[in-house]
Amino acid sequence: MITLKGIPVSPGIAFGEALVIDNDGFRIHQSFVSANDVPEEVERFKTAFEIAKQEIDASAKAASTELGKTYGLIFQAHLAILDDSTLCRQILEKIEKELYSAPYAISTIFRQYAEKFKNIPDNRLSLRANDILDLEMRIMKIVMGVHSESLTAIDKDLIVLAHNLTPSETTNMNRNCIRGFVTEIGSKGSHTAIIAEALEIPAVLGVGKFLDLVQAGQKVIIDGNQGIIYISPTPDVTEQYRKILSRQYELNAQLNNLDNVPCQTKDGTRIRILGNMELEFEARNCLNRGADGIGLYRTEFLYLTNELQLDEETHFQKYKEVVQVMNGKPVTIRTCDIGADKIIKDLQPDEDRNPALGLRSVRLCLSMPEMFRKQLRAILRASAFGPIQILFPMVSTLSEWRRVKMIVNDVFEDLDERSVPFNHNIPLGIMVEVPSTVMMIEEFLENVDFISIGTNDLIQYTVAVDRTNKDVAKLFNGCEPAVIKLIWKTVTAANKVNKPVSLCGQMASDPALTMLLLGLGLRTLSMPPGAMRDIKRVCSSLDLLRCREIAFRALRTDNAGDIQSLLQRELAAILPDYRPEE
Amino acid sequence: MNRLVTVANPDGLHMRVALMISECAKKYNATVTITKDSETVSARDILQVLTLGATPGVTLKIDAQGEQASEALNAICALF
Repeated sequence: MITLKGIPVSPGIAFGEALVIDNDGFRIHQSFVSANDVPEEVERFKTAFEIAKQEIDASAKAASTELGKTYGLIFQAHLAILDDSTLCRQILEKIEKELYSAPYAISTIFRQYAEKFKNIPDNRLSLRANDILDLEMRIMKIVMGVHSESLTAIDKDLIVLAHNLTPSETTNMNRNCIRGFVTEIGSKGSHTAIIAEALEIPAVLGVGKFLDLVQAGQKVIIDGNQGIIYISPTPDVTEQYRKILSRQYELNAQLNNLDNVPCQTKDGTRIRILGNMELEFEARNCLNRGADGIGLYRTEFLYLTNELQLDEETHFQKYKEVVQVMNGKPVTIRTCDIGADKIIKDLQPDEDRNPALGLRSVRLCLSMPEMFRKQLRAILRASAFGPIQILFPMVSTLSEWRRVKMIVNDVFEDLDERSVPFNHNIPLGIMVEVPSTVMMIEEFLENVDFISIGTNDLIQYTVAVDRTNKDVAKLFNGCEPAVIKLIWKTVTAANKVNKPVSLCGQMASDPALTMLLLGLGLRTLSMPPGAMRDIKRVCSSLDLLRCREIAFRALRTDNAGDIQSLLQRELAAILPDYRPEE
Repeated sequence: MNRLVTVANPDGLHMRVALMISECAKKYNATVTITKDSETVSARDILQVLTLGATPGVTLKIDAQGEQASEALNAICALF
């Protein structure tokens, strides 16, 4: 058994087999099929090749027009390789005579060729090994992604182990088979973490170098609560986790009942629970868990997957779909918040030495007004179909906010001129996530319709810690007294002038912090759907007066550690059966 | 019928040439093979042609059989 530790970014426990993605692409399981399944495997191999050819053909056409004939030629060569009769015969033989599964056969043969190329002494020719591996990766993605049955040949449950995962890799995976993510690098707030939360599966990131120790198909247990991964676990460990899992199922069955009950505290105060989401399917998850609306609809994903520049129509359709799914419940759409940790090829400015403090989020949008206008138009058009509010990230000064509003007004006029229907009273709000905004919160509140506190960035900018840097990640803590004071100042100011305030960072989904947040005056929390049951359950056991006392005690405490133990103790007293992490 | 050719391209028998050879071979009603040392491959199979690893200056034997053998042989040898 190998035990690995990393950063837990999405809770839960799962069993599965290792799906290893390394530099050469998917590391394929050694897998064999029964003689009866051979025709099916042959069919899968042929279909995968056909789809790959269609894809390459499309790329070839695009490349020829945009980049000239030379680039088209590479694709033509790739097409010719897939037509190579010897190659196809060799793969067929592996399947028919040695009973390899289609993916294993394809991978084995392609890697043999890659090896051959690497061994050719002439440098220019050996470079072709990369072409072969590219092709292999393309076909493997087709086999793994499109044909779910190809995965059943290995096993149903897979834990993805990778160095890092790109957004397109995570979206192309067959989600029905993926039970968890483990990566060598990455941390809370990274794309993989967000996807894992959306899928409600455990993820442990930032494990450090480990892929060399793992073979595809090995048994893996991932503990997303504690950030531990077991490769080839012993029977004792397996048994222990089976017990935990069955307890979890029981608890979940009880919590199911909470979905249809509005969230309120023990003393009857209504707490609004909103959903954080990114992919359209999550809107339904939020609704099923009884969310009162969407508090944070992240739109970066649309920029990250469509490598092309923003297409207004695509955005409009997605926004409209979400609004219609939410059926009258408000949807808060956050404009493009591309940041330091979400690199995007087309938009990445010149090499940025300090990206968290650089051209990101609303600053990036203001520097590319045409792109910004397109997104605003899409959002406004969708506002004709249901209640939408627009949330602008990372606004740090009032002059910046005025520039944003000017552009919004431009877009208003533009749409009016074309008589496009939209909600002229659409609420405009800001994320409060930079300390300068908190210091000026009274002035901001006179100029905005609502605010939402983004704790992830607020913590980063307050204690000056990059949570993705493992040497200092420990300093990243929502219980830092300075952070709590900033939240308190913000919420108090908003409540005083009756402007809606919510909190949508990770702190909102931590049951141990709910008491503190309610005590500080928050009545609206926005979180991933997976966290809603836990938070509702905690809320229903809380007494607001007690929360107030706890919050004030926290405000008088001078260090994060003491605040954390205070909150843990209180939670344990209220919910004795709640098992905090660690 | 067969003929010996020497790889003249300074990059060797690389992807573009291999692509032209395989496309050319597919046009004729003939079986064309390329032999380097003791290894013989079908000229239609680009991957096999590439894995010959024919670097500049290497001598290859082109062999053609079938109805259009001489036309195929001429066309392919012209690519070197």
